[in-house]
Amino acid sequence: MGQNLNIINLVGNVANPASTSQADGTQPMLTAGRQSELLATEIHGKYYTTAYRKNCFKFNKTAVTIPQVGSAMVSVFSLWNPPSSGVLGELISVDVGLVTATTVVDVLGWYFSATNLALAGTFTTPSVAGTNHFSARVGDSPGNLVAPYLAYTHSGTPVRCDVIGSYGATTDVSTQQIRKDYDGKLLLPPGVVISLGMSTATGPVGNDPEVCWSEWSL
Amino acid sequence: MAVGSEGQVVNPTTVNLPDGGGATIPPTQGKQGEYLVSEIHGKYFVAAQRKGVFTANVTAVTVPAIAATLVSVFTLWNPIGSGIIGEMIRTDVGVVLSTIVVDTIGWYASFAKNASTGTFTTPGVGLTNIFSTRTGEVPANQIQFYSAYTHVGTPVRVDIIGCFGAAALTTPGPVKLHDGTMLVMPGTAVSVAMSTTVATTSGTDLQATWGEWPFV
Repeated sequence: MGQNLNIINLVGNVANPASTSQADGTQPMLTAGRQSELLATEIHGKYYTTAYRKNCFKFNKTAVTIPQVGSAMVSVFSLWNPPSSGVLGELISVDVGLVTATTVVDVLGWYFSATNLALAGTFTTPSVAGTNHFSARVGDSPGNLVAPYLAYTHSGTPVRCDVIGSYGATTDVSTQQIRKDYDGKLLLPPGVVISLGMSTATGPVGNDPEVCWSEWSL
Repeated sequence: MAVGSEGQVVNPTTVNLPDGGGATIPPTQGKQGEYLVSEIHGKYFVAAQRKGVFTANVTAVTVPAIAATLVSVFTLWNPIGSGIIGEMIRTDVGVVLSTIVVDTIGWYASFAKNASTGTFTTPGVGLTNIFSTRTGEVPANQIQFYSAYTHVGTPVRVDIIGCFGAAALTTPGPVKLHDGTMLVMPGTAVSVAMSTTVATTSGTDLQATWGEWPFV
């Protein structure tokens, strides 16, 4: 009996997939490997469905100087998940381009403040949709609940929660901007703000940062 | 009524079934109840096999700096009535001269009327600079490629592709794997441009790869 008629007894068909090509409209058994695992093929990029469903966003800024972490750090690139947002932010990736030839030997990271400390910060300059932040459906209005800020002053000293990358010399002779793919390992709960900051020195005069994230109901 | 399991938790390293007929055990599951699967194709194989993946490339262009009425040398235009959404798969930036301009390179977009009233100067040509990824087939793309397109107003950056950190480089050109995070809606034109400074004259090869999906 085929798997479509009795899911209790679902079994696959162990077969060499390279030896078959089913016609459209047929309903063959699912193909299984020799360990009875189902054989599968992805049909989109990992974040396509999220983006298609209007749930993937990007925020970028040109030629900023990323500050060194410290008390009352004045961030130029922050993501704020308000306490009542009802969503959990999933960071997808961060890119940091260069527009200057002189870098600073240092480590770049995300620094966070949470709950009361986050709320006690100064939310100076929100990003503008269609100017600095966007839906990943290019051309759509973004309906993001996690709010990007072009200027936000932390209360107290934010704490590094993620190392993004580093410059190892004052001249970066690569074409690979600092980039990190999170793949689900950095989440932004409500009531938390994260900002780009440098570890021990102010960053180069001329970074173009970009962050991509998605939002999920709590 | 409770429905039984659709699989079975087993150690797959102890199983080796013969080909032919139905498996003697249900699909295998891991200890968290997840289906165990093996991929059999690249992520974009099915779309490519079904004639839905395309590339466009140009040789030795000068990538402009972002500005009002940007004159682009590499633009993808999804017409308003195309009925499809574009899934950007990959962007490649090649270096063909040894002297580089330090800067960040990205995709810049114009929307709606600004996009449709731009000047569509030089359309791409199938099998010359637009291709099906079924190599050798005539591409039936709905998203149109232009090697010259003039924007109305100043397009906005919607994606950073990469950057050049020094005037002399030791690594290959930037590559961006979009992985579903950049979709081009109908009525949108996206062009490759630099953040602050025009790139090296005639120094860059560009390629974009995208898939097309029905969109209602």
